[in-house]
Amino acid sequence: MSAPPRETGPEPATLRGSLLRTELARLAARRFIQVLVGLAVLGFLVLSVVASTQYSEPTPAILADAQARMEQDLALAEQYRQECLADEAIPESDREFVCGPPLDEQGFGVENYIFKQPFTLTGDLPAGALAVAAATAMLGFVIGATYVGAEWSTRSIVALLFWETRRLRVIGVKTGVAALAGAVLGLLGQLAWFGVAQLLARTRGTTTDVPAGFWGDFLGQAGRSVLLVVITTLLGFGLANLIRNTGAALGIGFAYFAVVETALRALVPSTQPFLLTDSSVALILQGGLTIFVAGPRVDESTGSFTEFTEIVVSNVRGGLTLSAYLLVLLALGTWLFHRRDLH
Amino acid sequence: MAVVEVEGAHKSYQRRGKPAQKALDGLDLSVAEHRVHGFLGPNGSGKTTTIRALLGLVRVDSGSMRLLGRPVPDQLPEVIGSIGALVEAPLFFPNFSGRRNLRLLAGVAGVSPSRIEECLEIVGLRDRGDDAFKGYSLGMKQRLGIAAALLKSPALLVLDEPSNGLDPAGIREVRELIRQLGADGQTTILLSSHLLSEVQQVCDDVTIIARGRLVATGHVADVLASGATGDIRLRAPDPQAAYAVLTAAGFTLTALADAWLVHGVSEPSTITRALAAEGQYLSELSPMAADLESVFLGLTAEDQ
Repeated sequence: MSAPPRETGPEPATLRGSLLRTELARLAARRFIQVLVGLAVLGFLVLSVVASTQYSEPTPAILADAQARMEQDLALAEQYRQECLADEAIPESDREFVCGPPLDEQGFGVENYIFKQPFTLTGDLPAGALAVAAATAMLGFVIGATYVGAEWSTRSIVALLFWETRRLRVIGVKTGVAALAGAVLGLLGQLAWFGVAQLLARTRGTTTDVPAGFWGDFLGQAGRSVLLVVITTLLGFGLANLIRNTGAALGIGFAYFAVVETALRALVPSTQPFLLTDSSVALILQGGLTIFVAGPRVDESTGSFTEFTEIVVSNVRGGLTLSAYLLVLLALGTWLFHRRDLH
Repeated sequence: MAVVEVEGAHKSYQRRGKPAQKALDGLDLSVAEHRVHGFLGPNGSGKTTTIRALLGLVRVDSGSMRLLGRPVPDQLPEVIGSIGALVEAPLFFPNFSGRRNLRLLAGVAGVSPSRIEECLEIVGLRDRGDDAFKGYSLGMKQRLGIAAALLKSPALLVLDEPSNGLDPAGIREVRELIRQLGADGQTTILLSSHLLSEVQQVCDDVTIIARGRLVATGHVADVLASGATGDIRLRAPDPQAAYAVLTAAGFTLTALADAWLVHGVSEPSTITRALAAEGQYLSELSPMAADLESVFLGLTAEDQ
């Protein structure tokens, strides 16, 4: 005889909300993740201080010194040119070509004589933001991998199924939390760099002379950078979930970037637009990435390529390529988690 | 009323390059409400597979299962809020404290913080709740696992080898705890164990399985009775006279160190009657009760 069906347990809606909060708490409470983020913040602060020592707003004295040294070099160059033009060993008809045109201050550039350049928003802000995007993308990969990898190594994900038995919901919430973590990480990275850049520009450079459309382009790049961090965090998550081990996931990631991509670049250059690194760069760079693939024509005497194919990988194409890899990885991991027996 | 029902469950594990391994072979199991039910079987007999299948971790190939009246795994989400489980080793984050581990689980089902403290109190870990799980002894880990299983105030508590790794004091504590939980009249406990004495001491009912099949089930006392030998230990002031009277009456006796063992006695009073008729009196008459171990070994040996 069966016991009558019992109406037990909290409502599913409550469970969903609680599961999300619990997963966020789990992620935030992980010591390894706290250490990683702490080290990243520390590294960022140290690099910001180092960067601040590399820029300087030029004083009138520095500018005068640079101007003097540039004029000195200009005079020397002109002297050399005159000696060249007077050299009878050079055929007269070739002298203008060999000795070159007269040099002027623009060609030398007084800024090249300033040891510490001023920080410029137009040049240094987007470049620094790209570096921050790359660093946070790698950090996101590790965080994504360790977040779910630890669940598998401690098998606490199995314990969680004693509380929430709907596996798709469990893995869905975990994936969402990983994506959210990536987004927060990417956004905070970009915001932190923007703050530091503003500080550097105000104290060691200039905030003026920003061309029209600059901020729109920069915002677009920052947004794509955040998207990249979300994708790499989910790639780490998806890989560790698939093989159920953080260390192995990180090892595979390292082997891919250090070995597989290098080998493919050298042996099958036409695969470059499909590589993760190139696709990532293409996603965040303003205007995408232009790749020159050597071949197929070769100079028989030197053995070197005489023809290059130019491939433009747009932001959208880079993003789609990464998304395709990510979807396959997540779908496979989710399907296995849903179907497999768990021990 | 049955809160756990398994009928004709089959489960095979595919193995690469080897024939499939049968874990469950038409298993039947029925656990009555508000009872402590022992689940016994040799290693590899299918106990843990059964529990995992009931909890949705493993899919059976065929057969039906019901928990608290609901078919599982289809309707498991609807009853999981009333089921607490500890399956083999407790699964927690090693660097988190016991309390934090419980808090993370409790958050999923909206269990109140006060219930966490209650459960820590029940298992005697309240004072050590803030210590890291990795610093716990095996017994403490096991007790934290039980605390986690109790968080939901479960109507059904599933404990898979809860005494694993415990020292004798820990085993006694866990048994006492199970006895207390079983005595509250609210909780049904399914206790999987390879410790026969544990089942004999704390369980009301028992199911014995071997090779994924049901071998015996019923009240512990009934199962023990089914394995009773009918042997009687007997001591008398004059052992030789008693021996002569009983052999003459048709009994078969074997000598023990300081007593006789009378075999195949269906009713002990036949012995006293035979001896009294010849003026012989007893100083001891003890029916040799079968223990669960001998019953278990006998039943499972037949099935191997």
